[in-house]
Amino acid sequence: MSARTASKFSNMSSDEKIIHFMTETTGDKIGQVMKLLGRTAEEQCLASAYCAATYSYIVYEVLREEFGPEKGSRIAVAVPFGFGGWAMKVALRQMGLNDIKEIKDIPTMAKLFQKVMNVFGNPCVITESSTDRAVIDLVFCKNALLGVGPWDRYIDRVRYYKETEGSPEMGYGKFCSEFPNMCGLGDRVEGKLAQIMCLGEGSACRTVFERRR
Amino acid sequence: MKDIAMEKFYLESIRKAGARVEDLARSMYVQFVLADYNLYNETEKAAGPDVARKVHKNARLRYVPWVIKDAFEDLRIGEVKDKDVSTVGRIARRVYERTSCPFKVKEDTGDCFVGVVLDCPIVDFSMGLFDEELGCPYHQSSAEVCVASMNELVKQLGQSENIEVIQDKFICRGDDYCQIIIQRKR
Repeated sequence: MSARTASKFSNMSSDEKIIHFMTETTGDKIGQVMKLLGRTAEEQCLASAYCAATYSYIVYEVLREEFGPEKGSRIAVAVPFGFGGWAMKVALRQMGLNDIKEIKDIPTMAKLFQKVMNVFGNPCVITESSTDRAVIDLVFCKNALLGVGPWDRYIDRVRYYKETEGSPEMGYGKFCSEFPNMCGLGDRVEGKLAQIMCLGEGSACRTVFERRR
Repeated sequence: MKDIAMEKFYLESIRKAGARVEDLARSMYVQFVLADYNLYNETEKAAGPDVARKVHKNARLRYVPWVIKDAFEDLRIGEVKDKDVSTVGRIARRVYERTSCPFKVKEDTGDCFVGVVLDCPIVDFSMGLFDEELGCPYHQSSAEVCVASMNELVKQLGQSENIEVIQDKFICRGDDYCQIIIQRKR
């Protein structure tokens, strides 16, 4: 199996490998295991969602236990590192764009943001979009809604949400603020996470992109 | 915890957002493998291989009580009787299937349960995406995680004195399949 796996991907560019693993491809590995497991695409989607959703909190907790709150949280933030860049590559491909520099306005940026978050498995809906302002609602957060373990304490989860998802210094809050910069529109557009679902602020996580005054 | 209504809402939300479940089935699996791989590597960078293996194991062991709880509900198991290797084997299968590793029962007599894991997407993904070789430190740690998970399962089911698990083949170490032998202690 090792030789087969190595040869199959050795000729692929890094971007192609990422697209291959992260989107449906005929005869890909997830397709093969789905057949063996007798799972439909929906069942596999849920299985993958549970794996990813539960693990981010588990990683955060075990690292804090091992290294203490400060160092543990710092390493936990580094663990998902890289996935955002990969999600961006997939989203650009889905939009038929080759480079992030092709993003020139707020509506296109909002669409890219939506697709990136969809790749993360957190579906987003654009509720407002104009040349001055866009509002994107993350209508389902798999971490908060599927990732809670049977013995997780609510108070611990809230701490986790505050430190990661809601923080403007790291996690999703930072991602929303940084997104215009990533698209090369940082000097003209401001991004912010205006509402956070897991902290009880509403039924969606709301991201707003606005033209700077 | 499994929540059918929430799962339905999730699938509806995916469609509402214009995404495809086929794609998300793959991208979220990559997300899980990336987290598992980076957990090992970031910890190794911070504190060395021994701590990395310990943290990797601790993380994956967190699934065991969760799998047991789900199995008791889904399979309608009231209790695991002493030396009941068949029931332990049925629950062990779910530990692997939770991470989308297809599991086949090779033998299930009253005394011995033998299961084989036919494929391990974690191994394929880590090799394809991170250019790792079979048997790399992450794979060695993964094999230890699997052994520890089975031992933890037996322990949490209160069967450590009656049942033992032998794992002699591992895909991540180059074997064609993983083999899990659950048998009564002699």
